Amino acid sequence: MDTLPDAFDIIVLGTGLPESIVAGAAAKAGKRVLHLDKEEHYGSQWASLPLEEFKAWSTGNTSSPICSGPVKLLQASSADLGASQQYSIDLSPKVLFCSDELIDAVLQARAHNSLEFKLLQGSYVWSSGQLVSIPASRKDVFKTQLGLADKRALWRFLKHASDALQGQGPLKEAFDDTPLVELLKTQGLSKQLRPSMQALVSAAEGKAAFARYLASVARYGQGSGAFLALMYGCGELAQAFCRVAAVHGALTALRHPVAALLVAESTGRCTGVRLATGQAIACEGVGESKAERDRDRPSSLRGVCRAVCILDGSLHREHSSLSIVIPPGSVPGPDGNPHAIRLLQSGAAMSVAPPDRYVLYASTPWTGRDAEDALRPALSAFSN
Amino acid sequence: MASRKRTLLKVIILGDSGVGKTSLMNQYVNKKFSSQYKATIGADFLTKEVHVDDKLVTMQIWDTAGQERFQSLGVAFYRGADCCVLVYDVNSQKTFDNLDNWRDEFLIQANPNDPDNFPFVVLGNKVDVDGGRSRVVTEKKVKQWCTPKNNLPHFETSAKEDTNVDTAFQCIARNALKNETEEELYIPDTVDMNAQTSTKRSSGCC
Repeated sequence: MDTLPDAFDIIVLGTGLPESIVAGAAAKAGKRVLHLDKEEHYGSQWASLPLEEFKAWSTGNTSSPICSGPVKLLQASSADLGASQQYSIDLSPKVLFCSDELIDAVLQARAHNSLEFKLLQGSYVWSSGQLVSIPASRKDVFKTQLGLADKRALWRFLKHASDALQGQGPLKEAFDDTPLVELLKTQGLSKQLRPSMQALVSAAEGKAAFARYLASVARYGQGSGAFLALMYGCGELAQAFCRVAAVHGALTALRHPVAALLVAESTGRCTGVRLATGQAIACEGVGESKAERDRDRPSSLRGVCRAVCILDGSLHREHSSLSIVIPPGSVPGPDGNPHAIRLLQSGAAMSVAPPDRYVLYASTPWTGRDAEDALRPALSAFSN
Repeated sequence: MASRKRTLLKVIILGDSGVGKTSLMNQYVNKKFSSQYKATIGADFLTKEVHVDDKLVTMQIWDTAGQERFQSLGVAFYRGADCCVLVYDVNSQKTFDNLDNWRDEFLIQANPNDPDNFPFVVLGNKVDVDGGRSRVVTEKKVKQWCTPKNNLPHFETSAKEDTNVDTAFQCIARNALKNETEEELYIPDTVDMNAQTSTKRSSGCC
């Protein structure tokens, strides 16, 4: 095998999404970039893995920031899960708003050449024991099961809201000053409607999230939904940026662990890295995400409870890729979680699972409870 | 949309560093050759419109972008390939021996539906070097390698002197197309990411 040169402008450690964007940008700007990862595969904590690799990861790598607690592997039945290679399981599952800045970054870097996106087929909220579609456009409003008065109110609200975001219409001031929950009430949205609108945004993000949502639904055609999902899983995103870096001259090397950062005693500045092989490589700067740096350290950060399930049927009759928001208190079980539970399902149509198998991601903010306790009630609601 | 997708053929070129993958592409598409070696920079892929029988197809030829140097081609690179070109240097035994590894790597990563019949095309490059006197890989040896693998097509080429390059790529296009039509017609409903960008971009600063 070749040996690595001894000097670069920038060394980027890890091939997760942030690191890969940095490597791509630096290489495009003409820097000599070395892009290293200790793993066999691209993506670091953003990787998408075949089933067997995912299992190995989940049992072997329990102290990384995205996986700080113990990982449990549960098997409900001895059912045949299908070929491991046909799975692509996200370590950081994500759908993108069509108007997400990341989409702009993808296009600007021309990273989309090696990516394939599909629109998420549906967004739902779990309400009174059933899936209620979240309307993606004003036109969608009329296809819903709502009563005429509700349809009118919702249609009017969406119109005023999108006007207000452009600084026009009757809501332009109210939109800035009033919390969304209040606004929905004053605009005459019934109790039945409010949850689905609120489900779109978290209270903390409020207006900005709503603006992003409205901008997203229009971007790729009328009634097309607000979210994009990646064929073959999220891991493709990081890989696409890694390729951008490589195409612009960055040298990429997987399976190259770094043993130490070299720091100049006099200045305290990082002047290079030493590889596990002993080779020292000089550079002007090292790029590394915090998550990457903390990967092997026990972390006190406990952010999210997460479950990855493999299903033998879709949660929805027609759709295979969908998101579901389960508002707090809407499924039976031990309460005390003030947060919504979010589900994201994907399947063979997205090339992330074998035919007739689906991957379901469930997550909710951590509130002191074991992930299984926190998520099982929501998953049980769908198990029949 | 569907028909446009169908005639777009993705071809990837594999082989050790320095065997002339980029040169072959460049000679074929741009009719250019540079004897200066630089690890591949600048292009994601090159495209060329080709007539195969009476059909016009667009061949998208993907380069390794140098990621093969440390065996770091990600799985994303292999996805959706319609034909895989395996290149070695006729003057280097090692590059020929490594064809097995490249082929295995492709079959594992790309995971094609029908691995036994997936179209590979084998190119022995640099036949011009030293007027052929430094050649170490004989045609006979290559035949022995290709024949048991469903008679893989094999060409000896020189990117530098444009020997056999067109012929080889014509064969690559034909095989890629055959693979494409024999595969179940899968019509992807993927989003054309560029569709909305022209209007979006116009307000941007760049």
